[in-house]
Amino acid sequence: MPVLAALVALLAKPDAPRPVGPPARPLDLVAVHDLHASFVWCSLQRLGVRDPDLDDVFQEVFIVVHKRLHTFDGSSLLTTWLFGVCLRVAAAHRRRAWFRRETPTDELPDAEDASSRRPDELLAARQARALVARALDRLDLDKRAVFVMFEIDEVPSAEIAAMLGVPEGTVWSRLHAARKQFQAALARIQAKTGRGGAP
Amino acid sequence: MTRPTRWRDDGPDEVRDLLRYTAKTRDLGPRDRARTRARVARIAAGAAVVGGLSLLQSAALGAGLAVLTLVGVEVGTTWRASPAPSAGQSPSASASSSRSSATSVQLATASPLASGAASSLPALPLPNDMAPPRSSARHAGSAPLADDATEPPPRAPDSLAEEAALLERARGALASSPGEALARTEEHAARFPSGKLGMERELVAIDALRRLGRRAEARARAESLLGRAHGGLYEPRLRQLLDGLR
Repeated sequence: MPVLAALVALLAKPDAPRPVGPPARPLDLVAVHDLHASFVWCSLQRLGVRDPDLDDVFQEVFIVVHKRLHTFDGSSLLTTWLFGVCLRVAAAHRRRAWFRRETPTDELPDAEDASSRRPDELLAARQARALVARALDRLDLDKRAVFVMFEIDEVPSAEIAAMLGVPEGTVWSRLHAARKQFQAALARIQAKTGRGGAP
Repeated sequence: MTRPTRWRDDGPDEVRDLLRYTAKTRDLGPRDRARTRARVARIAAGAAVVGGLSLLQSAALGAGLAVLTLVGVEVGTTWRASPAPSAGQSPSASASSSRSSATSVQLATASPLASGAASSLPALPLPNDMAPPRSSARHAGSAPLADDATEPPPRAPDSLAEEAALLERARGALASSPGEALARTEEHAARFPSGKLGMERELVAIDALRRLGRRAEARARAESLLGRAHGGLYEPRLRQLLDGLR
């Protein structure tokens, strides 16, 4: 019985050693949040988690972090490790979203947009965002993240490499692959909708 | 490979136009940060409670098993001492009486650890729509059977250990026989109408209904539970179940 087994395991190994991370500040969940909440928040969006689901998926990430933090041995940057968690949680979220047959919807224009742009510009912006969102949804998640960081958020490639714990050349090759996937996805969507050219 | 330049600057025309309209990733604002920090702190605190609960459940279960072992020894002794049923009493009734007697004696001496552990457990949120006390087989069958009137009244075996064991069986049956899992949860509701693991039972029941294809029932039950689980330990699991039901 699992409960009994847990008790036996607990009694047998009351002080099982756990790897300790390198930071001076103890690695507890709230400390990880304080240090890297923004990184997790942005990473999830870059991995395709949309606003309505962001809070819940963010919480899922921290539940996983809480369960697995003891496995972080400091051999990589914490952001690299966190990105791995985000990637897996976002992938599970994507599968659920696909299962529900959700498709991205046009975002509402924000107040600043609405007041400073003409209606035709607003419409074009909405269509462009929707199109990009749909194309991005067809990218592999790791490539998607690199694409969004580099092309949309304009993060320098060296910084991306540092965050993800990969060589800069890997960032470039992922970006190259992501661009190909993005263009192919865009062409497929436009062929499907019968819409050509820019919105 | 040469250092790439951004498509916004010199990419294909069509893509450049699209990217020009695309908003950057939204950073975490102070309000979002405060809200998420509170939730994360709850996860950390909640996990400690759950960890404590598991430990106490385990201790209670361990104590319950120890009791059962002692009972087994005692029953053997009792049977050896008085093998013949009394007149007018069926052999099975006599054996039952002897067993119950032995059980009550052993539980009276061995259960303080278990009951103490149970009483120190944090109260878990219980669903409001929890079934009202039904006719409980355990209560009906647990009338004092001790043959000595001076003996302390029989104490119920550790209920938390029983609850945990019953739900463990229900959970174990989920994959292979969701119908049986559901029946176990109903048994749990009948036997422990005010049990400490009511919320856990509801989650198992919802999962069982989902696996049985009774999705509407499962969804209604999950949505009803969600309001009461809000901000609690079970909310993420409940939301996950609901996600699968939509």
